[in-house]
Amino acid sequence: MKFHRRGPAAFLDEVRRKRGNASLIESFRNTLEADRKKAVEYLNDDNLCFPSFYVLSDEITKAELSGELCERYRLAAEFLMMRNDKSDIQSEVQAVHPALKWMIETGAEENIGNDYLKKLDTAAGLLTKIYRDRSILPGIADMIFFRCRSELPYHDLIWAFLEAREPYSLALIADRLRSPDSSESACARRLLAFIPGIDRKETGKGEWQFQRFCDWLEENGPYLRYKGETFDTTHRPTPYTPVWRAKYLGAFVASDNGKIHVSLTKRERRLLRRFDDLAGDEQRLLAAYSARKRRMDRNAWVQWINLSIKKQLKAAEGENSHD
Amino acid sequence: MIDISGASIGLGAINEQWLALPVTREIVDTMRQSRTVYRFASPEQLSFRLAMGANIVEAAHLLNRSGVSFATFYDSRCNERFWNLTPNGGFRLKNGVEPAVALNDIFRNGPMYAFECATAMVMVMYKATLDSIGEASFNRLFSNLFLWDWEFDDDLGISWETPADYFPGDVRYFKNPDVNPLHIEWQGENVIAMGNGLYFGHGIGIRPAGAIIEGLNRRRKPGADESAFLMDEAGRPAFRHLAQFADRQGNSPSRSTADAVKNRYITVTLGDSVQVY
Repeated sequence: MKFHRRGPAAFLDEVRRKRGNASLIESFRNTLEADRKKAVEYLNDDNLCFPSFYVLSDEITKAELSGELCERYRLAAEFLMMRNDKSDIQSEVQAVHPALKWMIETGAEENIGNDYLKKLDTAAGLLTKIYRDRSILPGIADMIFFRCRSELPYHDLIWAFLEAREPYSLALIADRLRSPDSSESACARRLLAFIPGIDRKETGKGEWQFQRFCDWLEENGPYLRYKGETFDTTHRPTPYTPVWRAKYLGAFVASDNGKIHVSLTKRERRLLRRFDDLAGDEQRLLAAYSARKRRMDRNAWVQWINLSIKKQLKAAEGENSHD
Repeated sequence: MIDISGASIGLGAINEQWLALPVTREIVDTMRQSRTVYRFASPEQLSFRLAMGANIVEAAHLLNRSGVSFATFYDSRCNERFWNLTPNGGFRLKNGVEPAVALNDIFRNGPMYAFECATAMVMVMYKATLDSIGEASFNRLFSNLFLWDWEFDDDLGISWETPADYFPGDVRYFKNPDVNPLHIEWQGENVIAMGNGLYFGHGIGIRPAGAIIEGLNRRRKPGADESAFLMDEAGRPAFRHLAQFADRQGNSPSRSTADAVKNRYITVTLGDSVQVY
């Protein structure tokens, strides 16, 4: 998903696009000297993109313009001036949500130096971690792949993306398995290598890998728990893992903590006690068999789940031996 | 339990140098007291495992004392005589430079380097490997050295799992699930287990788990209700694979490790009994 401007390009964006950052600053200074009101009007253009605003942020500070800006841009200016070691910073970010969103929606695929990239990283983290805003995930995914293509740091963006704790958002990453751009598909494989069938080193199988991802998400999606692993943690992070006992019962879980959403019957609780006593590989086998059977024939599944766990296991092993 | 070529062994069968060194003694004791059977094809393979464990811990000590700084990927820096700094903050070995020389430079000219904590862990693992298998094998195996994040050569083969037992030399991770996004670099801390309950983290030094958790908790978002914690997984290099490349030095602690033992501890051997003070 790409974000697009809602209307005609802002004047300052046009100057920047045609003549570059230095000319934008010079042009803005000249306008400011000649007509402060006009300069503020240019800044307050509803269609202004964050990169131009960022390039002019020092001028905005020096000329003390932030008080004359519309709320979104005033908050963006304040955010850019924030020092990370300020103790009262949290109170300042409470209102900044629309500005952060605008920064990512209009500035994701630009590189105006490390400080600019860091600000976007922080904005992404605040949006997913503090504001729990999942609507921004397509924009963060775009940024991740822009950074991959440009060989720029993307770790903090991946952290922000995963911290949304939304397993279905992995589809935004999986989509790039099919990308004709090899750096994008490599990045997608690197992130999704925890899924069976996706090998980070296996090139040229994008469509096949995408289908493996779809199969995996369809089978496990409702039962995935966020594990918290990112590229900061390990070489091959497993951000989400199925909760086998939930998959076995067909009970959806909260991806945050893996707890089963619904209240369980006495019989289900008894079944789970037995299930919990099984070895790890038996649990996996039974959970996979149960999910498959439930999908194919719900009545047959109800009969099977009412068997003793020993008989359930025997049926599952029997099917497995025919594979 | 320790098993060599199918036979369980006692302390008496273990070279006393490993019992004298606290780090390797802790590894041996943990293995012996475990319900898991730790199998080795030969005494040499066990020796390599212990030497490498000691060398990992020693490499962490060396990095801690080297003067290197913590930096995010954006602000990485390196000695450009040996490394090319890549746009994503990684260090790629320069053409014509020997991997061992470039790697050792990080530990010798630390103030010229700044990097983040995952890269630090990989550097420690490479350094321990170098000290365990010797320069010739190291240069042959790792001729395309690239230090960035958790990227490493297949021959180093670090793998993660939730093990039955933890050993000095393991890579662990303290996760800070409620970190304040304004302090994103405190999302967690990669560490090397140093033995005796201590951990080395790049930028934070050598500390007990409680102090690391306390430090991470100070960087949580307001209203946070989840504490930082030590994750169950442990990362270990491919000890068995690397053992085949060891020269004679690989079956004993590296010189720096041996020196460290001499400098830090007093070892007294009375008959079969070895005491370390």
